[in-house]
Amino acid sequence: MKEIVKNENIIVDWIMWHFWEMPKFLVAIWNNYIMFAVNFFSLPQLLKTLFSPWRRNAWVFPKIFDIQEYANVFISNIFSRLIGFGMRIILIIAGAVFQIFILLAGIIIILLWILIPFIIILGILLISI
Amino acid sequence: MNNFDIKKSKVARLVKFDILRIINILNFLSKLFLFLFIISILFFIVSYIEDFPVLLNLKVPILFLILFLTSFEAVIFLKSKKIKLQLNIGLSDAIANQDKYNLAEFLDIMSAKLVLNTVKFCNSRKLFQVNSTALLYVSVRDSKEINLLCFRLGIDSKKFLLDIKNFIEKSIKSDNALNPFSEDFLKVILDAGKLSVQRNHNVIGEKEILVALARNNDFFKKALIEYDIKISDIENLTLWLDSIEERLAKNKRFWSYENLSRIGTTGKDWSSGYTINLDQYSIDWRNVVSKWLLREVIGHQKEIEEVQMVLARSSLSNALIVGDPGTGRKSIVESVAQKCYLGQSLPELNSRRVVELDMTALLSQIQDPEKLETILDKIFEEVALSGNVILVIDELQNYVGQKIAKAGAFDISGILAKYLAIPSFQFIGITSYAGLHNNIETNPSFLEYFRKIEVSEVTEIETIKILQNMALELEAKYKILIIYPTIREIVNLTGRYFPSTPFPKKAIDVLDEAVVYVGTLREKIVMPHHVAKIISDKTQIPVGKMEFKEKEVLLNLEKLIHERIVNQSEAVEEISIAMRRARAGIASKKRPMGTFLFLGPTGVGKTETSKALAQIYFGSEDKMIRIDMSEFQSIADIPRLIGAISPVEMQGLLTTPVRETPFSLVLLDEIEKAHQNILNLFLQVLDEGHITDGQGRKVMFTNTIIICTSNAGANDIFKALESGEKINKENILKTLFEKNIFRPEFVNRFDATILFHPLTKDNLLQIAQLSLLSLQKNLKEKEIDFIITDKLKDKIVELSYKPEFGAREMRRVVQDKVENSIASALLSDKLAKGQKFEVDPETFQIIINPVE
Repeated sequence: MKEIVKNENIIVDWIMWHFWEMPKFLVAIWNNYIMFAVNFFSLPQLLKTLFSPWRRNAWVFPKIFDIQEYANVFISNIFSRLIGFGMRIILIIAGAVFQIFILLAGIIIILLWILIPFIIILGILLISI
Repeated sequence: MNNFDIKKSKVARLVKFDILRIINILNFLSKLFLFLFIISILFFIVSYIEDFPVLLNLKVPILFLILFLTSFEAVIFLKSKKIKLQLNIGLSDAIANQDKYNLAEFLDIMSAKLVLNTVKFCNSRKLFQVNSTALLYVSVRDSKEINLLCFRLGIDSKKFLLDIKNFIEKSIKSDNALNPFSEDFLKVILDAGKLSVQRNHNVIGEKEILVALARNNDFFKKALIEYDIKISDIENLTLWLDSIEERLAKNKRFWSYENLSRIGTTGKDWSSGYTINLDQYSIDWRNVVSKWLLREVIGHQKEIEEVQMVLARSSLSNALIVGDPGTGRKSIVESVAQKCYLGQSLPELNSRRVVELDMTALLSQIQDPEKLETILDKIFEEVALSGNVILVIDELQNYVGQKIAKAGAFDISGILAKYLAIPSFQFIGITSYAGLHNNIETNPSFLEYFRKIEVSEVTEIETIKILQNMALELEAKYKILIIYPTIREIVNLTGRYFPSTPFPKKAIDVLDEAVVYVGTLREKIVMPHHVAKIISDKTQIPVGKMEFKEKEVLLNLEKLIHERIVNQSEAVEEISIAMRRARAGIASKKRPMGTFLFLGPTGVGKTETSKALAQIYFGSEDKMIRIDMSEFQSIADIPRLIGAISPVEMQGLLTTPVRETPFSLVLLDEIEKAHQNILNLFLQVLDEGHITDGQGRKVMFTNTIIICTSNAGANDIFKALESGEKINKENILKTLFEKNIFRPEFVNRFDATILFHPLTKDNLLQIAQLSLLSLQKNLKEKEIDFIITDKLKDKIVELSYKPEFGAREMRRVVQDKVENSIASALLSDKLAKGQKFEVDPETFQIIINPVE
């Protein structure tokens, strides 16, 4: 009868799992969070529309020449664009901060995971002193 | 398969090691140590401030940290690596080469536990071979999952366990066998393995074992028949449970991209425009679907794909969903909204809002047409400018092609068409076939803006899944249990009794009603008989026991018909035989219940037999749809028969009543007088059991009995009778074919052609007795006793015997002579309450209180 279940030493099995499989899994989760942040803040889209009017609110210039109306529309549109710029900049900054936080948190968690056995050994040494 | 050896398998070692309990203990310990670590850290901080010996205090939190990390790591390691053993080969390969591999290695930890417990059980009962009935017993006793399945199947686990135990104890203990496992046990394991492969699992689970037991264990098979459960029910239920478990597991993985996407996107929303007017009169499906955690849209996958493809086009991205109401057209929109929200749609559509414009609210709030036009224009402009809205209008036909201006009706096609051409405008319209033909197609240029997507009806299996998911929500809402057989019964009965309405709506409606009905009864479980009651009330047909009743009816059909029909024993027998043949379950389910051609002279009982059949089968003579076919002598009469929409809309005399009361007897009188082309229409009805009416709706005749009557051939019958020959059906039919009255392909499509013989004097005597008895009964209600004499009967028969008029002439004589004189006696107060009387056979005068 042939062997079906992989016959591996539990230590080898654990080493492979701890130092290879789990970090790979954590990297995948990290990637999910990074992608989520990209989608949530949509930084490329915000940058592309940085100077666009706020919430696409724009006024159409009059068809006949009316200097007062023309100026009115021009100033309103400028304002709309300024508000748009201000709001987007805030969101871009928030997005960038969040993205940096995700990057750092990911690195820290993965490193901590890899270091768990060493932390345990170090702890035992500290207690036994 | 002789290699099955649970004791040598590694999974058995894990079970003996009790790995699941170890994981639970470690899990508890890890939480405890984390808690102690946090507490000790707090102590450490406090002691540091208070200037206690620091190093001593620091050792405690470090110890707890070590213990926490170790137990935490051990739990994750055991869960991810040890519960699921790493297998060298796939289950399908092992099944293909059963002699080389020990299939026990492919059992998952729970099913391995069941098998080990079965071995233990058999040893304790001194059974030499482990058999599948013992496995069934242990599975129901020990497995939580199988218990849950039994619960949902409506099986009483305690009683069932007792029955199995009794059966095992009664069954003969086998001799010392070579193989520790019996043939049937190994067959169950092998079948469970095959099923796991089919379901793309790499190990054999408890659910698969239960299905395999249902397929292979004789005791279980018999028990299932008793509980009225089919093997397919268990298969469907386990599959459904699998999908629920999968979805729950998905929801638990909070780190998955799908779950993270539920939070939404702020950036994309900020780069899109406001829709102030639209928001006032709309339902944002994104908000609705964002709250869905477990709900999934079942069926219509092709249509959902198509809608997305249309919406993603660079121009004319407008979809028109066409389907009959109740087919789940809106669920397609819900699914698109869900996919857009979760970012699982096409890149062009992801994170778009699917917004449905509530036209009813809009029209009820703004009545002034000019104002309405302005607001609609603003709304559509907002949609086009916002850049992230997919607009939906349900029942689009109500707002397009409105010829007459009336309250609540407004033609939006003009304003909408202006925007439909804009590339950034994405639109979904929902309409029905009738709406498409009547309103939208009348404006071809408007229709050109759309890509039509036709919605087909969901299948019965998909409907079962939809109902199962709905049942979960209803159970939570009403605190009741809806067992699986109830759901199956709903689908079966609605499929049979409401053939003209589509799935899933009709089934969902009945489920809703059943839940409310059970609530009113203060019961806790929705059972199949509750569903039967609801459908009985709706159709006025005794559902539920129908099958039992039908059997009884079929077996006694001759007797039941003869209660009303005199003579014609040959005809009655033929009808009964044909009905039994058609209804025994061997005939196609798509054809009508029975189709007959009644030939014979007038007044011999053709219509009466039809009435009797309607009474016997459908419970009332009112369930007979009678059409005089002599009214349909030209092709121009076809619209009157099957309905039409142009030049004027009319309902069909045949199709509409059949749509409304699908369980009825259709009597087509004097069929030979109808136009040949009209007869051709019936070829399909008789053969396929359906016809498409003038409104384009499919009308099902599967629950009808169709009877065509004809006087054609009556002359030949009389001729044969006069010459004293035996009446031969074949000869009469041959003459009819020769005279081109009927064509062979028409006559051949009937279940039976029944010949009614002219009535003899004896028959008429019996009929006279029947009609005088009914008169006697009526007079009895007025407390007047009518004495029927033989002489009177003889006289009536003597006066009315005209073979060419049959029993009709007699009815006339009874009316003219007997009823008239009784009526005048009653009016002139000659006849009063409490009196007895008889009728003089010669003069037809009333003789009151006759001397006996």
